[in-house]
Amino acid sequence: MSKNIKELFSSWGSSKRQPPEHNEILKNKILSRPPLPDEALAKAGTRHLPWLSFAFAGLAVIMLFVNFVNYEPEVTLLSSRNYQTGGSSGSKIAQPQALNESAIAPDYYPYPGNDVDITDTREFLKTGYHAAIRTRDISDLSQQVRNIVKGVDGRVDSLNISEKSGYISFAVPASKFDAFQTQIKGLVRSKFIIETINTQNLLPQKQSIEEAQETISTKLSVVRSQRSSLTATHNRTIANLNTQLASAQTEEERATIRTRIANENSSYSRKLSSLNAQISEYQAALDNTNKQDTKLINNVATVQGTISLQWISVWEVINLYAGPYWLPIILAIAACAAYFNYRRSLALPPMYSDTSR
Amino acid sequence: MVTHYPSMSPDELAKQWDATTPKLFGYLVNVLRDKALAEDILQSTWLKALQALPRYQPRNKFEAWLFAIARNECKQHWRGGNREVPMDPEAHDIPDDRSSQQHDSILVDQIMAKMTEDDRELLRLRYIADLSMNEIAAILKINIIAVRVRVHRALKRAQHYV
Repeated sequence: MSKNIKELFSSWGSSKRQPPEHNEILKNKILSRPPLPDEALAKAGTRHLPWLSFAFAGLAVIMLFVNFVNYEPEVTLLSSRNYQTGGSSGSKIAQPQALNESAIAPDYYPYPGNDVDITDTREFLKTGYHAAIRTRDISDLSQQVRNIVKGVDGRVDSLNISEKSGYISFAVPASKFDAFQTQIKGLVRSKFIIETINTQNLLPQKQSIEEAQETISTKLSVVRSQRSSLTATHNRTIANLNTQLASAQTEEERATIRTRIANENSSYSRKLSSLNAQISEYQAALDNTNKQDTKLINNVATVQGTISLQWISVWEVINLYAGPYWLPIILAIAACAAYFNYRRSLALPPMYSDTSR
Repeated sequence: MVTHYPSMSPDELAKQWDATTPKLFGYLVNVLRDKALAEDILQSTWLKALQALPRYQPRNKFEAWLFAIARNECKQHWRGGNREVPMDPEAHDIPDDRSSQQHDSILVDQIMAKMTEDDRELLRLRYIADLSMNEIAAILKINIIAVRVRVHRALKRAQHYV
């Protein structure tokens, strides 16, 4: 190669430089055109900042700030409503956030011991249910909830419906709770429902009732045994005294025996009435404990709950799906797009870019 | 008759035309691979330049400014959905009657065909437009040192293809 690469390119470059075919015609035609009016150029020259980009960015910042100030976590928004006490029993079981031992256990239950033996694996689960549902149609959804409650043999305890919110408290059988819950969840998409399920094992109360039943039964059988023993002793004594009375020779002896019989009868009556009173008392206590046991069983077999309905705006629906910062994000993207568009126009030489607008 | 522009006298404009147009046209033909299209772009480039001439600052080299406009005209042409067509030297490129120069030209065209578009653009601006490193840096909006390095590397690659 006789030439180096630079010379080769220089030679190539100069060989490429040639005027167009109709150079003179083009030259005269183009150079004789009147210039663009100064006002147009001046007007074009004033637009040299990416104002659109600034506007979008400013809006994005404002929306971000507004969202930051107003944003509440979704769970708080839905579950911090005022829950009314549900159920006809007056139990506080329907308050999902206030569910605690004192709310679960009725006052009349014997105080359960804290040391529940692990060998007792029985479960007496009391379930409380709350759902917060957001919907566009409160009345329609409340009707559907009522139908579901009726469909699982439950009952509606209270119902408050307005245009923007609704509240339903209900009780359903524990045996059909799973079906009920599935149907409730199927009413709306998962983003529109928040469920709270509280379950507590009432085994301590059950054990306490059982202990009381056992104690009372034991005492009752002891007293009954004492009563039987007393009667038998009394009968034997009376029979003995009657024998003595029949074999008595003198009137004085008969009088003495009759006095002893009277004393025996009197003592027996006193002791018998005392024992009878104790038996009645223990029997009543046993009946009461049995009632408590039945009530506990029934309580466990019932799920009480509440459903609060809240109207949701289209804006909130978008927020639910896209998160709280969707609008600032879109505005930021628009700002970037506007800026890149501006940069693209900047890629033209300054004067040219001015005139091209 | 040549119209009077405030920033440049008619004579100066005519001189600029004579000095710049061969380079510009050669550059455009090499970029666009189409003589007719190159003529169109040449016209629009000059028209845009003349429209913006009242705001032209003489401290910038007119030639470099004109090439910057031409580049953007090409970009706009491609942005409008028109794509570069394969070069047909027989039909479109400028004929060269000098045999050794013709041989060089064909050789360099073959080399250019193997290079990247970035390299081609640098070499076009450097050797067809005959622009300085400073002017190329201003047109491409990159550092002059970067321009030097890139041109050097492009030539090295070209050497490799030879």
